[in-house]
Amino acid sequence: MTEERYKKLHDYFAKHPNMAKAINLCCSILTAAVYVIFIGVLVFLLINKEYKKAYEIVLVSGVGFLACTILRNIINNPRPYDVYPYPPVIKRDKKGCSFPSRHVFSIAIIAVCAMTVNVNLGTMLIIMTFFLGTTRVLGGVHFVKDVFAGAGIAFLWGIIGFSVLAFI
Amino acid sequence: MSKKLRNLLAILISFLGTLLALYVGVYKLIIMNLVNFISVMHAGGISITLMLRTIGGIIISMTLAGAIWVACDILASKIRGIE
Repeated sequence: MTEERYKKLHDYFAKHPNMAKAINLCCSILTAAVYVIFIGVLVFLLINKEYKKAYEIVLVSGVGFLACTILRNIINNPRPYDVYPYPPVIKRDKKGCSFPSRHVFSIAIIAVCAMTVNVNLGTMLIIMTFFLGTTRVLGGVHFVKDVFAGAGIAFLWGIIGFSVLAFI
Repeated sequence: MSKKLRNLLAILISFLGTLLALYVGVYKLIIMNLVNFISVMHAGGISITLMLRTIGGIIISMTLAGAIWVACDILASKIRGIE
């Protein structure tokens, strides 16, 4: 998105504070829901004594999350509110570490993990990934490339991770 | 063709373009690719070829979705009369 579009977005949310609240709420609910689902999936696997699958999910998502954190700290790309003089709709003070989006990475990797347990749950989480990505961009805390990279890296990481575990 | 009809047609093409982009880019190349990969994984028949094919599908998914959406958007703009 260009600076002009960020200005338009900023002006729109300044005129419509309820929409800004809705974006914040959407982002918080989606994030919380995904972590609850993740814990739910793990509890479900543990109750059903599928320890190997639970271990694989924790390993793939955990290592991926760590790798994503390290990667974005190394790249340390500025956020839209670092580049343009418009404050974000989603409250955030931290500078840099924009690329890739860790929120989107997390939800996408959890979607791939959940898909190994239940295809419908995984599909629902992939759809939620795109909604969360949209709220992060509209909220002004990420560029479009950050959310696409977050989702893309997570999907690829999930495939490679589960393939490696299957080959071992 | 009247301006109102052209605008309506342009909106329809934009909408269908968005739907087609989501269908091809998200549903076919991401969701169905992952579903196929995971079902083969559960069956124990995972191979390097399948892994690379799934990865390739995901890499091109957004490019293809973007291309479809842009093509439809250009067509809609032409119909609307915006060059």
